[in-house]
Amino acid sequence: MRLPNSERVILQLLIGKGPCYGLELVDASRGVLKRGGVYVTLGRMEEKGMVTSAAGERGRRLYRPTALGERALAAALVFSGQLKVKMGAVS
Amino acid sequence: MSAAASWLSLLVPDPRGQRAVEETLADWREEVGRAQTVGERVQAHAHGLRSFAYLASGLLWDQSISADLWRTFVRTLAITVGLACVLGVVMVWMVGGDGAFGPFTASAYVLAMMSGFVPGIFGLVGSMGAGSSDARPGPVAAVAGLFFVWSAVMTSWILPAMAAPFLHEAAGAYPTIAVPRYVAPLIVHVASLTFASTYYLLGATIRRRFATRGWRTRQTWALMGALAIVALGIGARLALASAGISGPDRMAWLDRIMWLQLTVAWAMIVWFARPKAEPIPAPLET
Repeated sequence: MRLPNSERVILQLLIGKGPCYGLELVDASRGVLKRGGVYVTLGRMEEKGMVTSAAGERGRRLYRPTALGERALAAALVFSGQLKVKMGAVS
Repeated sequence: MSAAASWLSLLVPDPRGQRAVEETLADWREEVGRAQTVGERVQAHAHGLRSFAYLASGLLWDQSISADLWRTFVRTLAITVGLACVLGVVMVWMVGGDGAFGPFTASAYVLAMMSGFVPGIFGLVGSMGAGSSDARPGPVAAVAGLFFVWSAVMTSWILPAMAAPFLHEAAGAYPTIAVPRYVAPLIVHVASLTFASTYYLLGATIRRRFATRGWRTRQTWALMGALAIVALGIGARLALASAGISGPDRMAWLDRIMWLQLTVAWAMIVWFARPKAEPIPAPLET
C-alpha cells in the first residue's frame, strides 16, 4: 500500500498523540499539513480504513488511527528504512 | 436543506467533500469564537480564508483524479469533434467545393462557421454530462473548471492558429469571430469562456432536480435548458441583424446579448439548484 507523506505524518501524529481534531494535527505537523486541506486527506484515509472519526465538540470530528492504519505506517517505515540501508550500500 | 448547503452539494456532491467543508467552517467558527481582540479576530478570519483556499485546491485535486472527470471530458470532446466534422462536411457539400461560395473559399467558410459553433456544441454536449456516472455524484466543480480551461485553450490558441491562413477572408465575413479577443475588455473575453462550464452546470442542476425521473427525461430537460439559452442568443442576434446596427455599436450589442444569455443561464441554475421543500412529517401515533 502506497502511503503519501501527508498520510504518514497524520498516522504518526495520531499514534503518538492519541485522538486529535484536524486543526490540532495541522498545528502539530509544523507546516507539513495545511488547514482545510487536512480534511480532504483525512476523508480519503477514512475511506481507505486507515483512520476513524467520531463527532466531537462544536461540529468538529475527533480522529483516531485504526489497526490497518497502524500496520500501514509500520510497513511504510520498515520499507523506507530498508531503502535507506540499500541506498547506503550502493553508494 | 439551506440554500447555501444546496449549492454546496451541487459543487461538492460527495459526502466526504461536504464533511471537509463543514469541518473547515467549524474550525473557522472555533477560532473566531476564541479571539478576544480585534487583531486576533482579523487573524482568525485570515486563517479561515486561507483554510478555504487549501480546501478548494484539495477538493479540486481530489476530483481531478477521479475517472468520472476524464470520462466526461473525453466523451464530450469526442462527440463535439464528431459533430463538428459532420457540420464541416455538410457545409462543404452545401457550398459545393472551394471557391464556389462568392469571394470566400469553402475552407474559410467552414472554419468561420466552426469557430462560432464548436465551443457551443461542446457546451451543449457538456450540458448532458456525457460520460458522467449515473449512480454516483460526479466531480461537478472539476468538470466545470476543466471545461473553462479547455474553452480558454481553444479560443485563445487553437482556433486563432487554425484561422490564421484564412483570417483575411473569415474576418471580413465574420468580424465577430476574430476581432473581440483584441478589442473587447478582458472581462468580456473571460465571461465568454464560461459558456461551456455554465451549460455543464445547468445540465447538472437540471438532472439533479429531476433525479426521481428516468434517464431519458433528465437528459431531455438538461438539453432543452441549454438549447433555450442558445435559442435566446440566436433570436437576439437575428433581431440585431434586422435592426441594421453595424460597427462598434454592433459589437457592444453582441456583448450585451452574451451577458443576457449568461444572466438567464445563471438564473436558471439558481432556480433549479434551490432547495426542495421538505415534506412535513406525519404526526407520531401514540
